Amino acid sequence: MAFNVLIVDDQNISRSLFESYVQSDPGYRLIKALDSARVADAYVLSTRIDLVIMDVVMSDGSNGLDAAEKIKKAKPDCKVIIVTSMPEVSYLARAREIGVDSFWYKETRQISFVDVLNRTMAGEHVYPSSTPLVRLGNCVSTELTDRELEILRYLTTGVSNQEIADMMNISVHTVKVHVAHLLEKTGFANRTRLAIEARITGLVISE
Amino acid sequence: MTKFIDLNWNIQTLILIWNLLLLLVSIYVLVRFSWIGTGKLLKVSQVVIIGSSFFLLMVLTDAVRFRFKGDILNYVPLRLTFEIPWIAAVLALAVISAGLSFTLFMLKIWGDKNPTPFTIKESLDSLSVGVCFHSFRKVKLINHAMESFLTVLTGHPQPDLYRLFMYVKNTYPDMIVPLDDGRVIMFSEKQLMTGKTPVYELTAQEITEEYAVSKELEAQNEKIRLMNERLQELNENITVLTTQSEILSAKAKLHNDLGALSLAARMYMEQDPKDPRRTRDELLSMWIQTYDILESQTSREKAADEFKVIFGAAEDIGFGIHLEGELPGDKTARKILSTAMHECMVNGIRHGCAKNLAVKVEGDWYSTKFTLTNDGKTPESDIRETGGLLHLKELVQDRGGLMETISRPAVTVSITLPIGSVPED
Repeated sequence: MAFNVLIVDDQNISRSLFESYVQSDPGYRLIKALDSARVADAYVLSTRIDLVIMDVVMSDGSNGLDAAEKIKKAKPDCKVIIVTSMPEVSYLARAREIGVDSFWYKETRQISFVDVLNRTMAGEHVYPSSTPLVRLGNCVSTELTDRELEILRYLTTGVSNQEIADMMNISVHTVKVHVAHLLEKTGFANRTRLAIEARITGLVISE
Repeated sequence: MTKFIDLNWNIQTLILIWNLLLLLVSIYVLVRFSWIGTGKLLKVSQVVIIGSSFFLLMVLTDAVRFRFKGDILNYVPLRLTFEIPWIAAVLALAVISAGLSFTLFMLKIWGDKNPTPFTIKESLDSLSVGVCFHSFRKVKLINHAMESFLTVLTGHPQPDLYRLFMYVKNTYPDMIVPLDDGRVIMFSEKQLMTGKTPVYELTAQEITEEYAVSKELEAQNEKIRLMNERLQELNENITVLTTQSEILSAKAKLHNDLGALSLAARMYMEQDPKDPRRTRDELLSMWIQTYDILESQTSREKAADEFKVIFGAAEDIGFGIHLEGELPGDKTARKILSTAMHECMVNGIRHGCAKNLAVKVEGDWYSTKFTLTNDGKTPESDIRETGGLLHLKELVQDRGGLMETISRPAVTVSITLPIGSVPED
C-alpha cells in the first residue's frame, strides 16, 4: 500500500522537486502540495496522511516547525521530515524536541532526499550529525556558545542591550560581555555589522 | 602674673571667675569666628586684635580686684606701667585694639544684615554665569559675564532685553544660542515678584563643551537608529533572501539533473536496440518532469492571502466554513480572525468531529466582533484555553480586545476588538 504524502513548501521549484520524487516512486502517493504551513494540520487531521515533508521558513510568515509540532501532537504516528536550506542552529534541536522523524538540509550532498525519505518510512530517524558549518567573520559557527547564539539571534532584530537583558532575564552587563565576545571572535567592528552578517548567512533567524 | 587663689565668695573671687570666663570666651571667638577675608595675614591680625583685647579686659578687671583688696599700688601691671613706658605703650595698644576689634565686630554683624548694592554687584560679577535682572526693558542689575555674552550676540552690552529675549525664543526654541566666537550659551528667564512690579531674572550659561558632546551623541544616536531601521528591514525581508537561496539551490540541482539526462539520452541512442537498458518512454518521462519543474520557476511567488488558504484547505478536506458579514480590512483584525478560524476548524475536527464552522463578523463604530461556532460534539467538560487558543487569546489581548470561549450548547469563540486602539503592524 502506498504511503500518503503531504508536501508543504512555499517555493514552486522546491515543491515541484519534492513532488517529482514522490510521484516517481510507486510506494508513495501525493495527497496535496501546499504552499503554506498554516493549515497543514487540518489536512493531517481530516485525511490519512502517513508522511509530511515540511519546509520551515514560509513566505506567508507561517513556520514549519510550529506546524510540525501541532501535527505530532494531534497525530503522533504521522511521520514528519523537516527540510530547510537555513543553517539556523536552533532548528535541529527544536525538531528533535518536537519529535520530528527526520531532518534534511537542502544544500547537503552527503545524503540524498530519496534516501532520507525511504529510511524514514522504514522507521529510521535520519538526522544530520550537526548543523552545517557557517563562517561568520573570522570564526565558524561551532566556535560560538549556545548563549552567544541566542544573543546573536536577538541582535539581528535590532533591539537594545537592555531589551535583550529583559527578554533573557540576565543583566545588561552580561549581555555586553557576550556581545564583546562575539565581536572578538568574529572580528566585526560593530554589532550592526555582526547582526547583518549573521542574518544573511542564516545562522540565526528570529521569529 | 597676679596671684589669685582665694576661695571666699567675695568680689575678688567673682572677678577671678570673670577673668577665667573671659579667657574661655577669647579662645572660643578665636576658634569660631572668621571675620573679613580668609588670608593668613588677616587671620593673624584678627588673633592679635582679639587676644590683646581680652588681655586688656583681664588686666583691667584684675586691677579692680586689687582695688577692692586696697592694694592697687602693688598691682604689678599698673606699677610697671608707671615705671616702664613701653609697657604703657603695649597697654595703650591693647586699648586701641579692643576698640578696633569691637568696632569691626559690630560692622561685620551690620554688614551681614545689610548688604549694599556694591556688595551684591561685586559678588555677581565674580560669577561665570551671566545674570541680569530687568523690569519692563529696564536693566536693574547686570553682571560682567552677561554683558560679555550680550556684546558678542548683539554688539551692545545692554540691548533691549525684551526684544532680545523674543528673538532668542523665536529663533532658538530650545534657548541655546551659538555665538560668533564659537561659544554656545543657554538662556533662561524667570519671573520674580517683588512687590507689585514683576522683575525678570535672565541667566546665560556657557555650555560650549556640553553642547558639542550632545551634538556628537545626537549624531551617533541617529546613525544607530538608521542602522537599526535597516536591520529590521533586513530581518523582515530575510524570508525573501531565504527563498532566493532555496530557489538557487534547486536550480543548481536541476541543472545537474539535466546534465545527467543528456548523458542518459546519449547512452539510449548508442545502446543496442536489441538489449535496451532504458526505454524511450522512461527517458521522455524524465525529460518532461525536469522541464515541468524548470517551467514552474517562471511563475511568480506570492504570499498567499490568509483567508484564501483557509477557505481552500476547508474545501479540500470537505469542511464547510459559512461566513456571515464582511471580512475585515484591518491587517491585525485579519490576522486574528484567520487564526481563530484555523483554531476553531482544527479543534472542531480533532475533538468534536465537526464538519462546519459558522463565522459571523459584526461591527459598529467602536468595535468589531467575531463569533465562531462549530457543529462538533458538545464537550463533556469546559474547554480550557491552551495551546492554539491560548496563543489566539494573547494575540487578542495584545491588541486590546476580549476573547471568550463557551463550551455549551456548542463550542463558540467570541472575540471583540476595539476600533481605533488597534494599531496597525
